Amino acid sequence: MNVFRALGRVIKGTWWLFVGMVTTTKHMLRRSITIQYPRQRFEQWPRFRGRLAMVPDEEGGHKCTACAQCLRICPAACITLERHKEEGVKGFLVDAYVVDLGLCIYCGLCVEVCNFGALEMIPEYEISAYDKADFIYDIPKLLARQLEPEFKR
Amino acid sequence: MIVHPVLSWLKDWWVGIVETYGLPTWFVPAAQMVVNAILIAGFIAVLVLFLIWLTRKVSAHIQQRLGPMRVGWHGCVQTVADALKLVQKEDTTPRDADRPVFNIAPFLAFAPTVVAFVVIPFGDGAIVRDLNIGVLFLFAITTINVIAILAGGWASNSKYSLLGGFRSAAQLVSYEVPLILSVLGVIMLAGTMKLGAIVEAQNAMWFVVYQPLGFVIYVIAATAEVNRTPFDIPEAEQELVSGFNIEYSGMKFAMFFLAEFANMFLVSAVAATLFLGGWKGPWLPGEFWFLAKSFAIVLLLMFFRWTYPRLRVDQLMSFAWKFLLPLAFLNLLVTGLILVLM
Repeated sequence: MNVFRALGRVIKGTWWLFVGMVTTTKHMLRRSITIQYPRQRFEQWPRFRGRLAMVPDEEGGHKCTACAQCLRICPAACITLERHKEEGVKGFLVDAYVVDLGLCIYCGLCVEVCNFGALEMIPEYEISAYDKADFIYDIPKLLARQLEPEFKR
Repeated sequence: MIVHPVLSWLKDWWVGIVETYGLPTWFVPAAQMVVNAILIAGFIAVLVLFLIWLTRKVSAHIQQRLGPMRVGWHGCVQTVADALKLVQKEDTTPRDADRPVFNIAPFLAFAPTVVAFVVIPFGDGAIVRDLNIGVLFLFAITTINVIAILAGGWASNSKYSLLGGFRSAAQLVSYEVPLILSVLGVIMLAGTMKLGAIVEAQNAMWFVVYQPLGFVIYVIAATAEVNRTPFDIPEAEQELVSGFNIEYSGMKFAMFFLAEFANMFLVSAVAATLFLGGWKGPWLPGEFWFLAKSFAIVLLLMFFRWTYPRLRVDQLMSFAWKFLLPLAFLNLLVTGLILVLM
């Protein structure tokens, strides 16, 4: 009896070895799931939360009212705001709105909290730089979209 | 079909030169030997470069990656770049290493592989020496590899390389037995050890038809002989870093690498010659059929590598001695019985 059991195990094992080979062959014939990164890129989903950006209004300016809610909620304290008051104007005027993307944790709380829809997270993700200063985004940089990525071959 | 006319043309040219200038007659065979040696060494070098690229490509595609893509068309000259880098590297020797043994081991690993190619029939007439003890010579010479691996592992004076060397020696010695026993069936059928004659004997039918079990045993044992997964415990990365060759760098490491890949092709070529009819095939030249059959076996070994997990040492040993060896004897017995009764 033992002999038959052993023989059965051998046959079963051989069968599974064959199944394994079929599996690898199938995988070999499938399309590769990796891409040649700098030359090809994955298409981002429209709601992918990449870097922080400001939503431009009709004239191309920003919508910020300097209410500083984003500053209050930012857990990483990466936003700095300079504002002043002027006679006869309601609310504040923005002098500078600077985001340090080196500190940003991409949580999106500032976007959630903004009452005026001035901030959004755009699908741009290639923001690495050689200099820390390049991570500091002021208003024009925050308004700009899809800076054409450069790479050397 | 291709190699033979070229070689005979070269010989005629050389004989002409020797006669014109009145040189001694032993210049002719001497020049032939040099040409053969250069041809085989060049063939092995190109072959190994191609095989490494092929391995990387096949493994990448099995894992649904692309593999090397940058250097040349689909990375086809990537290995050349890698080889150039290896040559430039510093050749280090560990402080406590056994220097003479450490230095000679890589060459001891590579030389037998080159020598073994002497008896491989690449095509019609394209064989360096069709020895009458061809098969015996082949297995006798490739066994020297064990000594090289053990010497390299020992001389490195590192526990990982020593363990790798020991494991390798145990494995190679164990699998040598079923390997040779599986080949004996073919020798009995052909009635000769001459590789050229064995190819001729497969004119009507490939020996794999008469010796299916022998072929299976040969392929399994050959996989173990060249230290490929699932039998790659001598260089099990997760356990031994890299086995017997950890302490080697630069050109010496490249020699071990060359030997490994050349050996892989060698066992495939022997399988093609002994079981799959060698260079025999319709319409196309014999060299093409020989390479096609050999590369089919090489691809099979590569697929093994990316399909099967590594065996444990005890599993490896019990598989060789308790399973493959009885099967090989059974194969031998049945072959002998049929030959006697027929």
